[in-house]
Amino acid sequence: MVAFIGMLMLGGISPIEAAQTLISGSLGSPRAISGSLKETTPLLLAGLGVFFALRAGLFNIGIEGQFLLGGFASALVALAVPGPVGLLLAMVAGVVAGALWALPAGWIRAYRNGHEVITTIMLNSVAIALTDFLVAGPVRAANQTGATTATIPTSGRLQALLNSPPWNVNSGLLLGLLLCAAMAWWMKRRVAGYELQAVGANASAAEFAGINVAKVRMNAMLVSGGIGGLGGAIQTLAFEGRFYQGFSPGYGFDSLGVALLAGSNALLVVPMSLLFGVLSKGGTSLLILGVPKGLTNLVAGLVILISATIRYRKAAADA
Amino acid sequence: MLNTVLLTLSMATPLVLAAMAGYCSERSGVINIGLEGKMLMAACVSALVSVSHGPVLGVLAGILAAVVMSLVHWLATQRFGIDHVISGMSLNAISAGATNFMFTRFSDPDRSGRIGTLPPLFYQACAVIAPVALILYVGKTRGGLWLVASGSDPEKARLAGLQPDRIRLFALVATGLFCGLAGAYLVADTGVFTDNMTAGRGYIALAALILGGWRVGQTALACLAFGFLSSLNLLFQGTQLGGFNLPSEFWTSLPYLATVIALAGFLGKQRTPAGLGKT
Amino acid sequence: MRGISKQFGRVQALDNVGLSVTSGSIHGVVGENGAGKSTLMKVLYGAYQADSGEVKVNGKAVNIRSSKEAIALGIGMVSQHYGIVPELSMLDNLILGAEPAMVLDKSAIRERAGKIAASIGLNYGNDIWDRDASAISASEAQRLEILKLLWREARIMILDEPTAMLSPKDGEALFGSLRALTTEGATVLLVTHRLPEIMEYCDHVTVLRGGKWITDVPVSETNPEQLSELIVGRTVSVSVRPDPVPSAAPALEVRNLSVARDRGTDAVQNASFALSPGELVGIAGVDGSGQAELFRALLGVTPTREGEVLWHGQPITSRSTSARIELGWRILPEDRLSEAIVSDWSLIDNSTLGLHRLAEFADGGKIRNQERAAFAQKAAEKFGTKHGGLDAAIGGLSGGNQQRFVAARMTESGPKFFMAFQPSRGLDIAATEDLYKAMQERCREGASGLVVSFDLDELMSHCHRVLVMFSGKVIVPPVDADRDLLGRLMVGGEA
Repeated sequence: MVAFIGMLMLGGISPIEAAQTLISGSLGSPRAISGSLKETTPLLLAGLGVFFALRAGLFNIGIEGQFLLGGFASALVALAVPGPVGLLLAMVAGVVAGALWALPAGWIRAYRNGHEVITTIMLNSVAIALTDFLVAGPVRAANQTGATTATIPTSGRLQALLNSPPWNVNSGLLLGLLLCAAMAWWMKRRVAGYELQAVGANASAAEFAGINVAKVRMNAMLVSGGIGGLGGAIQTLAFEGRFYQGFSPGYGFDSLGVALLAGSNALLVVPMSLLFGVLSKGGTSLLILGVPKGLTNLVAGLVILISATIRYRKAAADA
Repeated sequence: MLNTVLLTLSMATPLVLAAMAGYCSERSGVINIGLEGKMLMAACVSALVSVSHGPVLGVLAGILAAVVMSLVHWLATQRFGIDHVISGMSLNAISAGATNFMFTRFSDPDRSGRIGTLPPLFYQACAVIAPVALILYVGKTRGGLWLVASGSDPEKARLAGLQPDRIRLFALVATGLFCGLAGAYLVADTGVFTDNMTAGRGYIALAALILGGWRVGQTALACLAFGFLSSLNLLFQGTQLGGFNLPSEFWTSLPYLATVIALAGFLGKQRTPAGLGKT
Repeated sequence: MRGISKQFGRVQALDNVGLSVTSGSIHGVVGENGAGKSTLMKVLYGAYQADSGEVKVNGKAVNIRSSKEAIALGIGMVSQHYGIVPELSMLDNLILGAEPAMVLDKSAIRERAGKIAASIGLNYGNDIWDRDASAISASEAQRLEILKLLWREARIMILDEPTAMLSPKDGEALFGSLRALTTEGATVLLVTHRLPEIMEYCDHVTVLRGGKWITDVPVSETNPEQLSELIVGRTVSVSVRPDPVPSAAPALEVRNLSVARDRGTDAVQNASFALSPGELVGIAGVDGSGQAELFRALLGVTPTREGEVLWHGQPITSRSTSARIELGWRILPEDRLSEAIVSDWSLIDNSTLGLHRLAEFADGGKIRNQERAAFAQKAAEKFGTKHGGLDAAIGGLSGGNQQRFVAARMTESGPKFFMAFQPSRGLDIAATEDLYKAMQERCREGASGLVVSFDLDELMSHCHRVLVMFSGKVIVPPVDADRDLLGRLMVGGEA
């Protein structure tokens, strides 16, 4: 907070004015709220993906790449197969693409013990390069000059949940909420969820408990990637209607923050992603004041760092 | 031909400097994903300060900024026990946000033309001296031995009477120094600071470090290779190569793919410092 | 050293202990687990400060407050866990922490190193000095540790259980080197629990037991029987042993089991033994004789190098840990925090760790919460675990209470075979009795149990039979073995 205000003052902007603009820009009107919720949706899904891996003790920084591949694959499938059938297939394609993209990192961590952070960061860059290339050339829409696929007709897209202007909330958000509830339930009620969290909390005790740690880690990465891919698919099918260069303005890192702040409770991913969504939407309106977009990025980074410090200080005090 | 060589050296310089920064940190046992952020911050700060205070102070300011970030990383990981990865990524985000902010806030739209900088040759010389210096340091001095010991097994190092904490402190200062130089070079090479100008070089430097098995000589070679790839990318853009139109993305993703393959163990034995991430 | 006392909390590790060593000798310090020998050496070495008493080196009273000061006085210690940094070369490891200058003159260093090595009969060339320390054998590591001491000009060298990982041949070579040193006037303090070494190589021996000084004799004036009696103590109380169990087709059979170690000889060597249904068998032995590795290998957590494990005649050597749990195996591991519990989790969550896949607690893939909570309640009540609610984190409980809970988890979950490692750790006498009673009850119901303990009396008073582990080998004593014999076997004496 202090740093944020400090930076604003440095830039010659009144913090109060900034705060007001932020809040009104993100929550001040039905249109603003709809916009915030729109920003929240990909963060919610990506956040769930990261959260899942985090519970297993893994840092899936690659959620960005998985998100991209998911968005890309689903666009292609939806363009190829029209209508609701195509929609369904497209979502599946998104999940599969995301999971496949997480596969190498998962395998390397589970069976070679190579830190998944490095592998996923690398794969992110490859994902960006790959999709950029494909969308600029081979799968570029015939009638477009920009690097983008064709637009999917509305019949093949996720419909809005609430569409009475100025309100506009997509069913994609609902899917995210359902997934969140499902995950919370799974973590608490299923044996597999129990095992996953055991591996994340104390891998050696998990071994003594008969849990196959490598397999759990591998699967965790796959599911995490799949969820990330689903996030990308929903982004395409609900909001964008196509895939293009610059599809993701860095949802990846933000979702890491979301997951970290959610701690050990899946349900908390919702409010956290909402927080980041609001910050993001509000950040856009702050642009008018002359506050650059990067500031929200900065705040996000600080928040994570500070919350991590607090968490570790607390743990040290308890120990 | 000469063109290619010069271009390669030019592209490789910031990589080598950043990779040496990464080397100092990781060899002492501190995982450092934050090279990108430190370089970016150094570039931004050096550009800003150069405008009003001249090139030399600009570079020094840039280096100072990178060192400060490095020290924050040290504090976070060694004193507060924060996961090295989280710290690195947070610092990257903070840097991206802060530089973006400073760039839009403080850049002077009226000013055109180059900012006063030190000649690129200075940095290229540094990029040559640094690896050599590091090799000598690690191989022939007590400090170098302590560095490797801290990163290999901090517990056993303590048994032998070393203080890994302090050793890592000095190592991270060196990291800041080299990142600062790398960032300042980017500005010196182009004459301006642009938003997000590092463009992933920090990660490529990390990739080079991994591919180079955390050894100075091999890392520097990897940097040269990546520099070569970048220059090929520039030179062959748009032209056909054996009937294929290899996209620039192919070249840019090659370093990353190679790193993943290396980590999977397919490129020979991985020699990660055993004490990476341990206290 | 005179009148040395040291207390750790409520434990009197050393009680008025004295030690007198002549220079140029190999002096053995002998005792069981908890005798205080390591503690005494750590006081000498500066790792601990004694509560009372005095230390004199070469006649002068000294106050050693740190290992640095010890080294300055010429006292150095080689510990069991070698302080070798794997990624450095042998030469680098030699000088780490005692470098001659800031800039290293490698050729001068090599020269001095070569001389030092030669002084103990080692001919080390550059190819050896430059070798990666990660690849050296246990005996080479041992020798490197000694060379490190010599590099630092130590004249009094403490070796703590030096032959733990060495083959007999390597052990001989080690003592050859030590002899070479003492003839030059250096002094060696040998801390060990192995009788044969004392008899063969030491000039003098000091015996400690239970933190007290027992005796100090020249080796030439004593014999193994006498010494082992002094080390392990005489049979004082009549042990209450359960009646022997009629032998039947074995429930558990171990054949020629060998478990490798990172460095050195196998941790478990060619172990063979069997348990009948209904038997509670103890494994006695000094810590570090291979019990932990045997435990892990039997559970399936670490792979075996060779040999077989059979359960009711079926080979299960290659089956997973969860498969063994499915067969009815239950455990109480050695290291609670890293092997038995997740400290952040509640008691309820921890109650089924390891049991979570059993039909009782899992319905298909679903957790049966009611049954779990009920079991947690049962486990907490069984041995009187004091807790602040079943939902509270287990990490908040005291060590003793954690142990009670985990022990109950083992006995109350319908085991067909259970393994307990140091079950009485953290428990008072009453709780220990309760635990053994529960274990014996399970055995009467048909289960078999294996208990590893460093307390011979505890095992003798509660188990049907007691095996001994020494130096990686499992020794099956004769049926009528008495305490003296078992004690001797524990320290490597003859049957």
